[in-house]
Parts: sequence; C-alpha cells; structure tokens
Amino acid sequence: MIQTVPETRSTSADLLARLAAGERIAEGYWLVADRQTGGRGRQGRSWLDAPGNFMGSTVVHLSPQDPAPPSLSFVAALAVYEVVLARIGNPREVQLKWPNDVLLGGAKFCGLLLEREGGSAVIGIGVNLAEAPDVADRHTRTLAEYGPAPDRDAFAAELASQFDLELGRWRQYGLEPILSRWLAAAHPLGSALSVHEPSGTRVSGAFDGLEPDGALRLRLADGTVRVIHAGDVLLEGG
Amino acid sequence: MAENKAVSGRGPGMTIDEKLVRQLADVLADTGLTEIEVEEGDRRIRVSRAAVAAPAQQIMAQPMAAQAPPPSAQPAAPAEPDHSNAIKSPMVGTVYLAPEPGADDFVKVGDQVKAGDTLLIVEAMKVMNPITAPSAGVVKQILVENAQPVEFDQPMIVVG
Repeated sequence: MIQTVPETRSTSADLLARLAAGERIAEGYWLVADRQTGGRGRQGRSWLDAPGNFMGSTVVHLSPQDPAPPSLSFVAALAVYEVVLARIGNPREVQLKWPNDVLLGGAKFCGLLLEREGGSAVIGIGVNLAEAPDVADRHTRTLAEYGPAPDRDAFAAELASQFDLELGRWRQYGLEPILSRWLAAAHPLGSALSVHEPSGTRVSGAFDGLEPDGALRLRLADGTVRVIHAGDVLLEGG
Repeated sequence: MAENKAVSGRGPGMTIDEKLVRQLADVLADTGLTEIEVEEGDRRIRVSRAAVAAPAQQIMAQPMAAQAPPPSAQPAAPAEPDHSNAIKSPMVGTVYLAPEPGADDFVKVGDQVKAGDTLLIVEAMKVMNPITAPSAGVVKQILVENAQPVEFDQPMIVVG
C-alpha cells in the first residue's frame, strides 16, 4: 500500500516516529511525499527534492532468521537498480557504488538512507525522476535526461514491487546471491576508489570486492587489504 | 584482638600493668576508638589499634605470600577495567556520539537516561543503528570517540 502526502518534513522521520510510538506498520507500506521540507541524508546531510521526483520510505521488520540487518543496504540498492535499468535499457549507464549508491551515467541521481528503530528498519529512498537539484561540488543527474520523466506514482508502484521481490530473495536465499548480483552491477574489480572515512582520513586503493557481510575490500598500494564498514566512497575519475 | 593492639609504656622502672592494659583494650573495643593514652604520675600507657580488621588480614596473608605463589596469583599489571556491564556494539561499524556533525552529543557522562533513550549510533553499510539504553540509569562512562571504528562486541558506553 502506497500512501501519498502533499508535504512532510521527511518520510523516514515520520515512519521512525510512528514506529517509536508503537504503531504497527505492515511491510509493503510506503509513505511517499510530493515535497519534503527536511529530507535527510547520511551524517546530517540534506536531500534536496524537486517537483516530480520520488521521495518515499518503507519499513522492514527484522527477524533473527534474516541476514544481518546492515545488508539491507544492498537489497534496497538492487531494487532501485532493477527499476531504473528497466527504464534505461543500457546497463552501461547504471552502476552501483558501495554500499547503496546507484549512479546514472556515473553521477548521483538517487539517495538511500537506512535507519533502525528497535526491531525494524526504515528505508528512505529519493530518486531524481524529473529534476536534478543543484548540489555544490557534485554532478547530479535525473532520469529525465534519458527520456520522458517517469510518472512518480508509476515509479513508486514499480519500486515497491521490486523492493518486495528483493526482500523476499534476501530472506529466502540469503545474502550471498544478493552480493553476487550487486558485484555484477558495480564498478569492476580493480577500479580506483577513494574512501573518506568518518574519522576524517582518506584512503585510496583498488576495489577488491566484498567481504561475506558486504563490507568493502580496498587493496592499498602496499598490497594490504583494508576492510571498510562505513565511509563515503568516490570513484576516482568517475 | 591482641594482635591488633600495640602497647607502649614510658617511665623509669615501669612494670607493665597487664590488667590496666586489658581494661583499656576493652574500652577501645567498646567505644570504637583507635587509641587511648592514660597518664598517672610518671607512668603513661598508650593502647592503640590499627584501623579495623584489615591489618589482621594482612598479617594472615603475609606468610602465604612468602611461599612460592602459584603463577596466577602473581601481582599483575593494573587490571583491565571491568567493562562487563558496558553496552557493546552489535556489529562492526563506525560509532557516532551525535545525530549529525556539529550537533550536541546524544548523552554525556553524568546524564540521567531512561530505557529506550538513544545513547549513540553505529553505522554499518550506510545503515544507522541507534544504540539505546536497556534500562534507566546514569551514564557512567563513554568508552568510544566520535567517528571511531568499532568491532563486534566492543564495549562502548556504561550506564548504571
């Protein structure tokens, strides 16, 4: 079920507050806003919206049998990837970047943020369907550069359906096939990456695949492998 | 109690009045005082005991310590702080003390928290995991720094 509201501060903040208040929100429910006045990104960054773009959040209730919750990042990224790829057609134009960025023509056009609330996780997704807001120092894109802007409600329905499918695969078949598909759609092994770690340090190296839990493997110049669980990843030259 | 007491007397040709010493020792025990000194003419008697029972234990422990101690009993370097009651990280990731850069920390040492209050966040794979207080209490210790990597099960914060 997809509920659409004209305006809210943040669809994710709304769902987190409702969960914290004890509301039982069924999986498959999406809260979609026409406008967000306080869209959020990682580490307090804002997510800029624009008319016609998709901004929505959904809920996953975690059980002990599920793969580790952080791996939901890959589930959400694959859902967006599949929906976008179906519209773009050319697999070269759509690429995944660790852990849950989906790039269009090498540039950012969507944002995903996952937040836990007790035994649940709220997945917030923003996708530039019609417009690419100006972001300082960052090249952004929109699906409208590749053809007519997708209808927001149709896109929401496709994304909800694809997310449900990917979530079911994650639960039934585990993380490994999810990561294999993610790797096939990501920048190739050996790609030059630099990672801004939360502590402020920056490390550069070559993409060396993923750990079984999804952590990023970065091969440094001295041959050692650095395993990264959190950080901003930049594709060098990308 | 005799081992707890030291008896000193001063005075020429003094003979120890054992009865008086015993009486004074009884006064010590009854009153909880640690030292009594009485003076009569050129005779002065002081009866004292060291603080409570700890010295007795030391006296008893010393002969044992003098024997070859078992290796495990050797005095060790300062013991690791006991973090057994600390809240531990449920995953490998990065810890944040504040909701976003520049914002106030969720909690600081000395804060009163209630069950369910967010204490910090651990990020893994761009999933934000709030770590909440399991029960009401006071923040005793914060064992991590903002934006530092944390291992699975690493003690992060103590609420007691």
